[in-house]
Amino acid sequence: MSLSEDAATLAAVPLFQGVDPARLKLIAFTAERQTVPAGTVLVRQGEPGDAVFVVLSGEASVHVDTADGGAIPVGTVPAGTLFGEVALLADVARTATVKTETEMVVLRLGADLFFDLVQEFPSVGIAVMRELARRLDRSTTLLRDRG
Amino acid sequence: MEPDFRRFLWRYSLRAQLSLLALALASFPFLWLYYEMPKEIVALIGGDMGLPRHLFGIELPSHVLGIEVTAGVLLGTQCFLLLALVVVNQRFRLAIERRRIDTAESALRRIRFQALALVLRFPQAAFRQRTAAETMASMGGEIEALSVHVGDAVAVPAYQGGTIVVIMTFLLLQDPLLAVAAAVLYPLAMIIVPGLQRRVNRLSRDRSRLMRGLGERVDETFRLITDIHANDQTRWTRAFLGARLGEVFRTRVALDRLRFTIATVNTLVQQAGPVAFYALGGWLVFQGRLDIGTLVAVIAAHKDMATPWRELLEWYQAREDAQVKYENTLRLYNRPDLRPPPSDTPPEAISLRGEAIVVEDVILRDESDSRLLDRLRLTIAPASSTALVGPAGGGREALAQALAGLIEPTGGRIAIGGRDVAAMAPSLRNRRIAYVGTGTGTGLQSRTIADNLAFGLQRVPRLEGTAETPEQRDARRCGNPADPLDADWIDYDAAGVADAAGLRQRMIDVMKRLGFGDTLFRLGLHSRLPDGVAAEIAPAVIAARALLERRLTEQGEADLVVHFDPALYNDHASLAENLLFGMPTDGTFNVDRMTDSGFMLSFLTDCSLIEPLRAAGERIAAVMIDIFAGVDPDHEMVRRFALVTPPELRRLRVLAGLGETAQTRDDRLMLVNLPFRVIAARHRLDAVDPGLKAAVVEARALLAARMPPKLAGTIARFRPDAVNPAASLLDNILDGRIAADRVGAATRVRRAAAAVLEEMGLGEAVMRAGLAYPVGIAGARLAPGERLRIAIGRALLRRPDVIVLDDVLGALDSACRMTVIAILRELAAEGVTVIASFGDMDHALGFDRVITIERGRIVRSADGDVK
Repeated sequence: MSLSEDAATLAAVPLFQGVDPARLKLIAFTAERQTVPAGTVLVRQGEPGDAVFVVLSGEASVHVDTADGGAIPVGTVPAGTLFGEVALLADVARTATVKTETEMVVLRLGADLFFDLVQEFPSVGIAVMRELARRLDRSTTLLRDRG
Repeated sequence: MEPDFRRFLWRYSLRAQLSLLALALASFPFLWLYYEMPKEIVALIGGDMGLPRHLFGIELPSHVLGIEVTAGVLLGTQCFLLLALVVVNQRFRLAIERRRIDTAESALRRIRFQALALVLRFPQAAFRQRTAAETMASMGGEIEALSVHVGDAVAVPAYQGGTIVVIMTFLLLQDPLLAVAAAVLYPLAMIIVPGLQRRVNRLSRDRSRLMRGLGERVDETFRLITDIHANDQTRWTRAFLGARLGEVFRTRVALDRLRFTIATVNTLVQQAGPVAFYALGGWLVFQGRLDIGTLVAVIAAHKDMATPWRELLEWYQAREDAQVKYENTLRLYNRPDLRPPPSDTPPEAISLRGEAIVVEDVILRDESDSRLLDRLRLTIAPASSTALVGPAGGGREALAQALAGLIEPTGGRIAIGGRDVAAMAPSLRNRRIAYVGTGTGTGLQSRTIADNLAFGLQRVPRLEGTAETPEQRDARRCGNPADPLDADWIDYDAAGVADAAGLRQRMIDVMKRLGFGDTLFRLGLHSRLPDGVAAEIAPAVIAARALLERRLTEQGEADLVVHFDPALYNDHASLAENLLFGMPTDGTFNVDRMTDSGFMLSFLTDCSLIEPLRAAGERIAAVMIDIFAGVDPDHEMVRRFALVTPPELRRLRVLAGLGETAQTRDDRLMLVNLPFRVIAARHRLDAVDPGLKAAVVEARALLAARMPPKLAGTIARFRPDAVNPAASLLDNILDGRIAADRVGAATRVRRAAAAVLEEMGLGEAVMRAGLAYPVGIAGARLAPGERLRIAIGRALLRRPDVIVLDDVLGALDSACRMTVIAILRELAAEGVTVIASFGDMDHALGFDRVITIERGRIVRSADGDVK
């Protein structure tokens, strides 16, 4: 659970490809490393968002609550993903519920820290932008395939 | 304030001036002897002193006390006496200077206080015309120069003038011709210099006026910066500021040139003097009319005259200047429209309850003479709630302030129970009428929540013992109030409670009612236990530990808290806390600089911890340099997240480039100190390895045993059976730390702790701790709504007869607004006259009467829609 190990994990995360290793260490150092037992709701739809998470290990499932009280599974969060940034960037409530399937290890970046990192280090900002673009592309593909 | 500087001077410093005069006169005989002695010394050395030898003109026998008076013995005696005279003269100077400084500083404190006391009596409008910065500026330079002159008023002419008289007399006795020559040169300067000096004074007044003006403009630029950018007025503003600087520049250049001219004239006279003496004196010596000893003494004496002359001259200028400055200050502060002076005599106990407020033809004009209220007539029934609504600036705010006696009507009057509100003594009026506003001039002080709530209750200091402290004596001597600030000022009767504990309880009740209870609880949970509360609730806190532990275990969450165990290293506490097994209670022992303590340094050395710590420090340094590479050490990120301070980071970078051999002792100690900040679970640096952890745990007991009592007294140790005064209430109940690496641990533990505290009936004790929370400058550590709740709570605590809420309701969130309106209705039912001004008609629901004011007139008056 050392800093350099975390930084090494971060370096393997596709999101952070091309980000200076020193910056990755800074992210690992300033973020909180937390262990999440299996079956924990990490993020609940509709609650205000105060942090983003990077999954270092383990896996979680994502659900979207429907109006009739049901929950539609919309996907999984595997190790190496960043999630929770939508609520921060768009300043809206959490758009989905994330529940851990296995024990998970995450890096939690508080809102202030997240914005500081994006603002101070363009490479981190670009990484986040790239991730968002990739997701947008995925959604568009999904829509096109359905249509 | 005295209308004239001279009267101020004599009235307040006569005794000091007389003692200065006495000291100056007493010093002159010794000054005279001091000039005599060199003459005799030179005569002795030059062989001009025949037999019998003499001392101070007194003939000496050939033997004194059996010792032969040889030339050597006499020279020794002479030199010893001369040295003694130097000491005596300087002792006199020192005594005079001390007295002078004391007099000047007393005058400064007195005049500053007089001016500030006048500020408290300014009418409200004055605060729109002047800024605090401007007032501070006029409190500075000018008044300081003035007070210096108070110290100099007698001391300088007496001492320096006397010195000149002594020297002149001495010269006259030596040779009248030389004396005349010496006397002529200085007056020559006196003719040229004063004229120049007057111009210098005028210019320096101009300069301070210009600087003040510049200050105001800069102040305005700060205030209007948004408008400047929004209107694209940068270029014009630049030119504007530049033009001001130009004026300052011209004045400064003229000033400095003149100053140098004066200095040149002075130096010229001073240096030309000796030339005249060499010529004239030398000729007299050739003639045999003067001996060399006398000539040397004369030249020395003449040189000594330069300083007193200059000082006298400056004194004369300063006196004229002081008069002008005094008048300026007087004009700034002694306004014709001051409110009446406060009276310290306690007012008769009156009640305005049940009295109607009658507003009779009230006219109110602002400073630009436009009408805020235009012949307003209104009767407000007692024990009712009245809403004043209308557009902003329509007059409702002015009426609200006038009702509270904060502004005086230009015409007509506002009466309550037949008494004119404006003419009532503030100690009567503003104790019975409460005003809560949101505009300029209102807000919170940078003190605790409790202090802010008690702000309206501080009335008369309760004095314990009659002995006057030195601070009080000083204050009285300077015309400052002798009221001790640390006394208990609270008027418990006014709040309807018996003592401090009762007041705290009422504060909690009022704030809970205002929806502030949760905030108080939260703040209390994260506060240290206030001294008074700690002893009282300690047993309950200890009991709460066990209960919380049980609750967490029941919920299967016991591992969310890591307890302090004397035998184990706590990964969620810093290394310093692990070693001390406690926390410092105050700032005397800085754990970030552990080795600054001589004891700790030797203890760490004895335990062979220095080397492992330094090695850990090296590893931390390497990581810090690595992760903050390319980041400015002063950057916000460094300050918030780095384990090192910006100067440390800067130094570490230099050291990294130089290598280990370049490390000084301080550098090595810095590295030794670094690991103490590391919280192993949080920082994950691998710097604090298992070996070091084990060594720290091992050293723990030894440290506790060996620590000197004085140092141990500043550290609160973690103990399962006692509260820790240095830790927050939450930490105290945990008797450990939250396992921050468990997701949601902080929230869940906090929630469980709160539940346990409530269950044990400690809720209010926690809120009491919350009352001691410092709100920060202008309440910045609280949200705006929270600040307003405190302001309302402050007014409610005073149990006023009339309460005026000026633009408050609109600034509250809707839930709180409903609560406040409900409270107001209850107050009205109890007999309090309630008046609230706001802009939104929707808030008027629940008021007995709604009065609409537009353009300074009542346009509608209706019975409220009471639900």
